[in-house]
Amino acid sequence: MAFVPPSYSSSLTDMRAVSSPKTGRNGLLSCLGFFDFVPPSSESTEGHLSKTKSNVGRIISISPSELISFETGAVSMTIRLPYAIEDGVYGGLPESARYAQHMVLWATHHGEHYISSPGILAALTPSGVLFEVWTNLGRHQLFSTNVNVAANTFFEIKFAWNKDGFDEGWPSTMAIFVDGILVGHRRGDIADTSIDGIFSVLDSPSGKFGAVAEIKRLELYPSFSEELPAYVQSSSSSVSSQSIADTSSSSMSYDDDFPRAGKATIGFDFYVGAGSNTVVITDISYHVVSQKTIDLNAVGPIGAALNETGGPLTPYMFPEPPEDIPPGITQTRERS
Amino acid sequence: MATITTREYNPFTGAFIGNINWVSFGNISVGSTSQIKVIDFVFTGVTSVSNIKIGLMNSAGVTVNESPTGILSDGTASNGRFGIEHSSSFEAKTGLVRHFAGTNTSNLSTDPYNVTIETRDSVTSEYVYLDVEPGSSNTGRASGNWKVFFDFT
Repeated sequence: MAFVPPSYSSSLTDMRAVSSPKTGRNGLLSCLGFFDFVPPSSESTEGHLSKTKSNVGRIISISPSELISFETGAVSMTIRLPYAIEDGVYGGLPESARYAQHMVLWATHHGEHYISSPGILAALTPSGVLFEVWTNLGRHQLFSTNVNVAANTFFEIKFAWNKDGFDEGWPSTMAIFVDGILVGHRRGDIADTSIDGIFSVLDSPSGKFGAVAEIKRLELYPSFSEELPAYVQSSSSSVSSQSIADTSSSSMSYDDDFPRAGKATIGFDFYVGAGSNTVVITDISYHVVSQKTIDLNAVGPIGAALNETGGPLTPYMFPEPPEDIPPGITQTRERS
Repeated sequence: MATITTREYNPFTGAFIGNINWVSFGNISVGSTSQIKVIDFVFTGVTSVSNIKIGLMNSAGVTVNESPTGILSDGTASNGRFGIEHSSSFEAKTGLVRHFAGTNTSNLSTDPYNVTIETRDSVTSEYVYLDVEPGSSNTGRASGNWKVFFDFT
């Protein structure tokens, strides 16, 4: 299971970063509406983007097939929400009677209210964190109620899928990870069809859902395969069998006495240039400048001052001052 | 629910800089070693953490270690291009002498090339010092990643 680099990875320090990823292709990602910029703080050394009710910012791609496919892939986003998520239920869901009461995290082929087949939806809903994959082999929904995140706290949430199962020992085809911890998984048949429609992040392309969020990182992966985490292997078999079965929901439970295992990924980057890019600024030295009186009868660089006939200097003529008089030095303009 | 937060510190003073999930080594001249990055990990939603290991999963095209030598019990080697050291209290280091011995190709916590990191308290790792020395053939922008493995109760 070699590491697969992302097909798109960007720290969203400003709106330009959306279409200028650090890694991978840009996939024609762009902004609809706009985002407010949140400057760096003690919690984040780089600025990030904020979607508000007024700017209705969302990120879209009209060419998502460059980045992900139904066969396998993953989408990871690092976001901060103004309300807590408790047992998978977000406290800031829009209270709309007209539209679906969920907050779109990302989706493909999303219409005004819902996705169409073939489509993928990741959303916060009143029933938990939803991951839905809908192809002609079925509409499979995975709800996780095992997510608890404090308000105003950055967290990474990743949605992964693989139509062939994640591993020989882990036949699930859909999974949700929060900060690297598996919080839900299930098996559902996925057809290897083409990605249709628009890929959108933080809302549907129409921007109808309107929930606010801050986002500082977005990553898309062209494939995802991984072994079942050890702590899930060690948890009760009933949970595993329920998860693997084609059920409409999945959640995990743990034996609190058993040590569990987790993992998290930290990326790095660098730029290697041909030469040194270092600019060296030497220490600045200071000197005290004292006022000097210049003797105008002294012989300057072109000789003593003379009048037209070569006689003594008249009161109207001044000799050329010596060279390298430092600025600010008062010249004595009278003959002594 | 267990969560892990990566914190970065000023490599000269040890002052806290901010929470991160990405380490930028910045510009590196050919043949040079990057600046040292200092991080640690704090775990929330858990009672205690143990068996913390860091694996180098993707080396960004840089040869990690052609022939590791001087491997210690924590898994580090005395040679290599990806520096890693760890300490229970902050130290202003001018260079790293311990390195990753290889790449984690198994994606497992038991991979022999993982480096073991101890804890400062029940939910906080030691300080971890990282750098990279790209080879002469590595030019341009590149990215990779480490993976942190841990057990928790």
